[in-house]
Amino acid sequence: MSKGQLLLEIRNLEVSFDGFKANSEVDLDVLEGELRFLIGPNGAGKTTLIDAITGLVKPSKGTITFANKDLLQRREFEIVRLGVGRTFQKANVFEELTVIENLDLAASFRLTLPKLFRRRKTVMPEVLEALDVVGLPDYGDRPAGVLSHGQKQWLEIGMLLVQDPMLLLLDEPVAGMSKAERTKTGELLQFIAQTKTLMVIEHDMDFVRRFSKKVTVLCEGQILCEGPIEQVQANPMVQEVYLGRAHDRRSQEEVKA
Amino acid sequence: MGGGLTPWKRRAIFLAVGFVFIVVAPAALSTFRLALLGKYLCFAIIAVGIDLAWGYGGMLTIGQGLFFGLGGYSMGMFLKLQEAGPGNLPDFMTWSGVEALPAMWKPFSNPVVALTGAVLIPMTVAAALGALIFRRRVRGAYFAILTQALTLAFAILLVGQQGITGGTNGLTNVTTFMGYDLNDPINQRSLYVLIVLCLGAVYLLARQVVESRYGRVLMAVRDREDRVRFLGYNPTTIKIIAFSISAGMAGLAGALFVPVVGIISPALVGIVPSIEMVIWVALGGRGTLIGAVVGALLVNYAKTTLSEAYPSGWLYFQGLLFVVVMAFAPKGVAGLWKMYNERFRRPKSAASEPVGHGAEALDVPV
Repeated sequence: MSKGQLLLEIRNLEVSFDGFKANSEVDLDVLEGELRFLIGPNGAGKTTLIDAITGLVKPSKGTITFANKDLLQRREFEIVRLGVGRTFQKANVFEELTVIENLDLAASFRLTLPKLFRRRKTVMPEVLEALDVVGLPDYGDRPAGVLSHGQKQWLEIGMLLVQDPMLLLLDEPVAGMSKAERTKTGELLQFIAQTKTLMVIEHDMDFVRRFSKKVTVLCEGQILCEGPIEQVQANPMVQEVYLGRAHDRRSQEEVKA
Repeated sequence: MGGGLTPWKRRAIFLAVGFVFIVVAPAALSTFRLALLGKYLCFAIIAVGIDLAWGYGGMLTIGQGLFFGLGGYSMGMFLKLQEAGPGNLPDFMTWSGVEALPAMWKPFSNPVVALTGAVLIPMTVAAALGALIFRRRVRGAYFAILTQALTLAFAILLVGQQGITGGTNGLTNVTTFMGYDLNDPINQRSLYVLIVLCLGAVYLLARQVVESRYGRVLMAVRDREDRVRFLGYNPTTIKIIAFSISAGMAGLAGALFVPVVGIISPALVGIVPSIEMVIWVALGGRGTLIGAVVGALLVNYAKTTLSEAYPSGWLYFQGLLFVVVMAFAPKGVAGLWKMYNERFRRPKSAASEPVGHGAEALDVPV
């Protein structure tokens, strides 16, 4: 696959929970090498969309094609093996294992069974590299439980990197991070985007403005509009979605700004 | 892992314990006591297997009697056929009026089939069960109840097929093993040493499994199966492997149990013994292999001693022991040992040090 080619293609996707449509009529294209942001108010169906791509929920309609392969017929681990990695809103690392062990666990998923039954004697080069990239080289031998919230999210991203996926789906990676951590994370995402494709769910409009090229806005399960951030912010429909929810003062101000 | 001991220390301890069991115990114990110890060691093999499935894999199997039974009956069938001699029927079949050897028995006249079958049949059954159960994401208490129900069904089946299985009595009067007279103390001692060696091998195998990368994945599945799925592993496969190994160990224990004790019967493989097997591991400390071994040895030693003194009191005592341990030392004997080590012996380790937070630790090469 080369840059600019269609990597992920979603057509007419519908996900419903007992009749409630969390996603409907979603058409989405993600190109190889993109750093795409997915924004929208709470309950817009952003996480559900990622859940559908990664096999966690089964859509009731539509198709999802990744690198010319149909994802809907595949189970979660098979989708990961095709090259789609994801993180969750809440960092989900193995706290009693060390940082290196966490990374090694993620990196070993393609080992054959006989190799899996050997002990880990050395640290794989990709683990060391990921440790560096996510900025945790001093924490390799510490249990992941002692990491701060932000560091855990970086470790999660590192666990994705060692798996060498083609597409990374990140669910609110900077939620709960300090300003400085957000900046570092944004730079990390841009660095990763040099070689991989990313789709990032984000709430923080300031963060989106600083690091995004292309934004997709979801609202009530549907795609509202898509484009560069300036264009999206100028879109009257987007303004209405955010402004219409007057109680959400923060996002209102952010959209205006 | 390994209680913080260096590999060399661990090896030394392992060999020292092996020496005690192989050299000291046969010299110090009467033939009767040695046979009892051999029986306990068979149980320890089961316990290691349960620990692998439950302690490390989170699969609470209250049906290990099924696999123990499959191994035991495989061996029992072989030994009964050997004893009867070629062309003759085992004693109980003659009593039940069976005239021709049932087809199921025929392969077990071959020692290779019987001995490998004692391990491979339980492993295959466990793998097949696992494929059905784990794929459907049956876990926790539901899994436990399912395994128990299967064990019950197995025991009922054994009782019902009098002519084939010996019914309630099971296969009794096993007096020879591969042509050796099992009443001869020398043969008994050799058999005992064989059991010690098997336990040692099983222990080392389990150690390798839990300390390998696979072991990490297994524990990760135990703690957060859904997360592991998104790391690209199939939890079903991971669990089937551990469950199957665990069943193979129970089968091996069954095969060794029969020549030591001379009998295998439905009462030895049903629900009650299956629950006792789990109790050994719980009392010894699940999640540590040595805990499982110690638990099986201690509980069974206590059972013999107390049953000799108070013939009807054991069940109450076992219940009480279980409640007390779960209430005050939920990690069992091994947990107590660990706690003692951490409190009194080793100085505070690095784990309790405060850790720097924040972005200053992060240096992204952009």
